[in-house]
Amino acid sequence: MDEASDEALMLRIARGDERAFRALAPRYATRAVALARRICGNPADAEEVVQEAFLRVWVNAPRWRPEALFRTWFYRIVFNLALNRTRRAPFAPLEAAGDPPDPAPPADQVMERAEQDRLIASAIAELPARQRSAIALTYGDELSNAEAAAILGTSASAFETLLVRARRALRVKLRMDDGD
Amino acid sequence: MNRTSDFLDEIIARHMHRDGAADEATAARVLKSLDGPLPRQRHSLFDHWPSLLLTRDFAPAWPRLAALCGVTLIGCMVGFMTPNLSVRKSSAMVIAEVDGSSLVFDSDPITGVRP
Repeated sequence: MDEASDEALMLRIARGDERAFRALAPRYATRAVALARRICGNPADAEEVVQEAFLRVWVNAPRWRPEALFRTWFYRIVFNLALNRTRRAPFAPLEAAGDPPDPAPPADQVMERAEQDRLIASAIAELPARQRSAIALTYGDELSNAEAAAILGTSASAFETLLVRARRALRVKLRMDDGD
Repeated sequence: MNRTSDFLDEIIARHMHRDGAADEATAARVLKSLDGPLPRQRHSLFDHWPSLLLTRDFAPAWPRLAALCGVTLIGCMVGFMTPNLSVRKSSAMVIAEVDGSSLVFDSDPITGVRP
């Protein structure tokens, strides 16, 4: 396993080092798939998006400049590709009902959680793509507001506004009455 | 339903992380698809042509080259952008508009005093 930093690996990738590329890709594959799935709504689209994103990293590596974190740059590629895909085909969560219930907890809890999952999946699916992306970056990838804003190509304050609107919309859809 | 914001955060976070195993399987398929030959990288022409010349011992002497380019550029700009000035026109102007004979034969063209 290559322990070099992402940026050091990118410099090697820029010189055509395939080994560096194959060392860097696994670091972000799962997180990128998760991000793309949360934006696109289904794993098939997410798979294609992430594959395309990695190929773009490889092809455009010679043009990459180490001025920003690789992660921010890469997530931005994934975000843009996923957003383009949702513009072509509407968000369609295939697994809104959630995972099969875990046999460990009691059946009523499992059913309640499954119902919550179904409701939240449906509510998130109805959000505009950018608000959905803000939720995915904050709750899914647990990025800071500044980094998430950089990925979405906006300011930190605009991102916070986006997030507040998304949460408010979710509360309305889930019929939650309290404020922030 | 009257719930707290913490509860909203909790169910969003749980929803976001619920497909971890499926995501890992998808990621494994993506990585497997990248095992094959990769496409050609896209290089910027301006990134590499000096190094290509260096490897062939055609490295430009930058200060001299820059000076030559600069002087050439200035010359071209002056030549192309100076209005109403050309060799043909200026010589025609001399022939047509200046009577040199008066300057030669007039004894004092300024005062008009004659001997």
